[in-house]
Amino acid sequence: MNRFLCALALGVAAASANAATISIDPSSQSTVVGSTVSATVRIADITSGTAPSLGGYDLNLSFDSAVLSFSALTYGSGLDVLGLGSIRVSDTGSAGLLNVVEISLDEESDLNALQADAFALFTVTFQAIAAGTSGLTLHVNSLADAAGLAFNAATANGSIGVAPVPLPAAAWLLFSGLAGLAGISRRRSRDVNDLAGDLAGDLAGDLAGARA
Amino acid sequence: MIVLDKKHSSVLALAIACICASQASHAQTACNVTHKIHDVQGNASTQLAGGVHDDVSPLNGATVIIEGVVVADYQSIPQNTRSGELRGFFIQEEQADQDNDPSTSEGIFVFTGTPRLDVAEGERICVTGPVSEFFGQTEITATAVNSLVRTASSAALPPAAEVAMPVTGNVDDYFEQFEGMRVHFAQPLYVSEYFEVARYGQIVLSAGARPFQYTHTDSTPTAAEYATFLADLARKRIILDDADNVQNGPLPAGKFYHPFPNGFGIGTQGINFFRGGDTVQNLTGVLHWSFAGQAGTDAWRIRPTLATPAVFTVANPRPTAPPNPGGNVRVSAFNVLNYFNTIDTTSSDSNGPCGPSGTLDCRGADSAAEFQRQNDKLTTALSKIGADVFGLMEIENNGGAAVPAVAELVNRLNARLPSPVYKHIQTGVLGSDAITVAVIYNSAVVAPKGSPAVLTAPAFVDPNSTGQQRNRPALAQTFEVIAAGNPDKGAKFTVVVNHLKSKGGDGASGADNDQGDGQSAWNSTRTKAASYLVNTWLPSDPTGQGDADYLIVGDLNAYKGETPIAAIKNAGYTDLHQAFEGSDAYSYVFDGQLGYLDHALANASLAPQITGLVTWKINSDEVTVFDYNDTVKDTGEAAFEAEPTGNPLYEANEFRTSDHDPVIVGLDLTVPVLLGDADGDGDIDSQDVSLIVAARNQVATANDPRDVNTDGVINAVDARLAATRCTRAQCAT
Repeated sequence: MNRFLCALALGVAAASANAATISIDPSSQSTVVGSTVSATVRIADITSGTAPSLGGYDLNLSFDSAVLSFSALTYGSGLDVLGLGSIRVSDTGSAGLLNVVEISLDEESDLNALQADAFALFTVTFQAIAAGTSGLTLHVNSLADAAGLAFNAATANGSIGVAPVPLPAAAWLLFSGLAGLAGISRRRSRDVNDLAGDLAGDLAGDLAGARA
Repeated sequence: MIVLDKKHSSVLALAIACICASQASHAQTACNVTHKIHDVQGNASTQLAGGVHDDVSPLNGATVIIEGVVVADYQSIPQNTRSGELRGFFIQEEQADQDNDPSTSEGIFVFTGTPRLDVAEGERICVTGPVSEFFGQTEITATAVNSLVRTASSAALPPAAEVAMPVTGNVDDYFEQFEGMRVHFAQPLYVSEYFEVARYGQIVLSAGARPFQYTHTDSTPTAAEYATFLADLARKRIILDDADNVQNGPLPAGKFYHPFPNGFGIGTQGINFFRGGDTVQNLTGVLHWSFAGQAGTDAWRIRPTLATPAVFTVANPRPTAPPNPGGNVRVSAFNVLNYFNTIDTTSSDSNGPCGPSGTLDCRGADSAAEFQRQNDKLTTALSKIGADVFGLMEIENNGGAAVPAVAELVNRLNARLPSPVYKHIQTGVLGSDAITVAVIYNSAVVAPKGSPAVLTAPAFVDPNSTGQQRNRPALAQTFEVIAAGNPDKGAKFTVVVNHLKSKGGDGASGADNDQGDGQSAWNSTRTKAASYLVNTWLPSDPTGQGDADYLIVGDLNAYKGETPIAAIKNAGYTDLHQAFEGSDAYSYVFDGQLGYLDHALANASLAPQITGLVTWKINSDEVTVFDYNDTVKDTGEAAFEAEPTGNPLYEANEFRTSDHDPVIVGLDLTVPVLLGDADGDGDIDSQDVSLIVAARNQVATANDPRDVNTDGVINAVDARLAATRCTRAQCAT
């Protein structure tokens, strides 16, 4: 990391009270028609052991319903740090749109003390139904911190490539390579702020870890 | 034989008259009249000016012979020596013999004592006797043998003279012209005062309308204006009396009070009894200046005759049910007139075993039988009102007793209800008087919040430092609406019950003396207390509940225009009588004048939440003899305190429960929104969080409990914020 990038990252961190990011993990992956594929929506950079913490979210995840079919949803445990239950609601009624909500019922102090710096919000499993590429686009309806105040987070979208039925080995390798190139291309096209945010978040996390 | 000479002295004339009268008693035709009745009465020039009733006859002391037609007969037949009987009759000059001077009366009272002759209306009688003045009335005493001779058994009644009110000029001079005559009012007259129906059989009728108290209509009272008011009042009121001045006596026939042909009693309004505000049409009778048995009762009065009994027209029918003030919660203020569960066995003017000191007179029922009647009437009224909170006045101040009076009342009220919902606020003894204020409430609808607060500060109970409590301690209690399904559930309000010092002047001095301005005695003590109440005590949140809504109720012993009420209104309170019943509101009648002492005043926070105020006219318009008192002269009772025998006067209904009408206030309270309580069940739990989530990303409605952060939209932030405010750990239900 050169000195210029370091200065940029510190400046962004100073300008934003929380620099949390919600992203798709993995951001890019491939599968073939007829297979299942999972993507996890994660939050990162909310600092462990102290505020801010995530107290509730209401997210939309859009996908290409011609390529992927929703199969299953599993929630993470980051909003239920004591394992005593939370309010979990989802809506899969619209084609290509998944609405996922979780509201923590834990005490604010428990969330702050026990919530990790980064954790999975939920994992979605799809069935790959046709060849093509489906974006996985996140939209924040609302986020709340542990105290019940509005919370901001950047989002990072992802994608899933679906290949036709398996071909000869050489062809498979070729498609696989192309898919990887496509993913790199998308990553490069992201705007500089998202990238800076990622970098700043990483750096802030490192610093917090150093203090702890 | 004596030679008759018309120029002889009156002494000679007397001798002649006696002889002639004696002879006429056989022939029943001749009457050697010496004077016409108008000569005996004299004209106005013989009377004193200036409103002093002193109309001495120009023939006072002389013996005269007059002849006329009996227009009203109040002789004692059979002889009855009860004090107060009129023992005489009114006789009037036949029309042809009347003069043309309207200022001279054509009628006169003939006192017959133990009668020598039983006369009847419509008979022509020759009367011989001396003229005298008796309690200001000109009369002829005809008690001697042959002083009464019937000269015709049937003669035309002279036409009644037309009289009208308000009187212009001097009232006494006006009525003096008609003393002893048949008179007729063409105008309707309104029943306005009936306190003396039982004792003297008299009521006061007013021309035009029932009058209101001066300090009801004038909010800047002055002594000069009050004097003018009283003078005007006297011009438009006349007493309608019965046939005698007997106190509390049944008529000889066993009938009680005779405006109605069969006497006064329970039954049908207009036939057996009247109410205040009813009218008397075409009142005809003899005009009589009379003393009515006690000092200060000398006054002009109409006595009805057999030919022309008074006819009452129902103009103010009994209400069949309490009027509805609206709202979801009802508060009633009711001065119940001395509810004591310690029986009164001592006379009213002596000490008894009541009050905190144990040395005060018990003021209530005089026997167990009367107490039962009092309970029957009062619990009927209370159950029909059905208020959620009652502020009561004149409850025996025996909060330390095993069963305090208020507890006994609650027990008896509950006994007639499907379930025993009423409870009382336990205060113990309050202050030093024999009576106190009290609060009872429907425990199914409201619950007391915190403890009652009692105002005993000297600045309130005795602001002029007289050395004893004058105003009864005020009692404040905060309530919360708890009934499931009540739209006001969760709302709180504070009721403040008062009973300020009464208007009687006993013991008053200085600023508390009657200032002659219509506000009566102790007005300074009342005003200072009212000011302290609203400017010092209530702003201190005496019940500690942090609720802004105050309703002051109670008998403030001040009419609407008086300074104590101004003091309360100046602190931002609204007079709810004025707001909802207007200028004609009343709940009390004193001296034939309407007004309200029983107030309901809401502070600025509560006033917009009031839906109405009604007074239930079950008491002020009703005649006193319908109360719980019975005909038995109980131990300690004076004779006049027992009610007359004759017609039945008692019914176990709500009428004349007290002397004050109950006031009922309707409240539609603003329920504080518990943000996050999406299902409105009073707490916040996981169900509420789920309901908020279910409404995510909707625009909030007004006072939407799901919009916890009140930013206008419902989302996950509201859900989480609600979760942070859950009533129980982990938002457990």
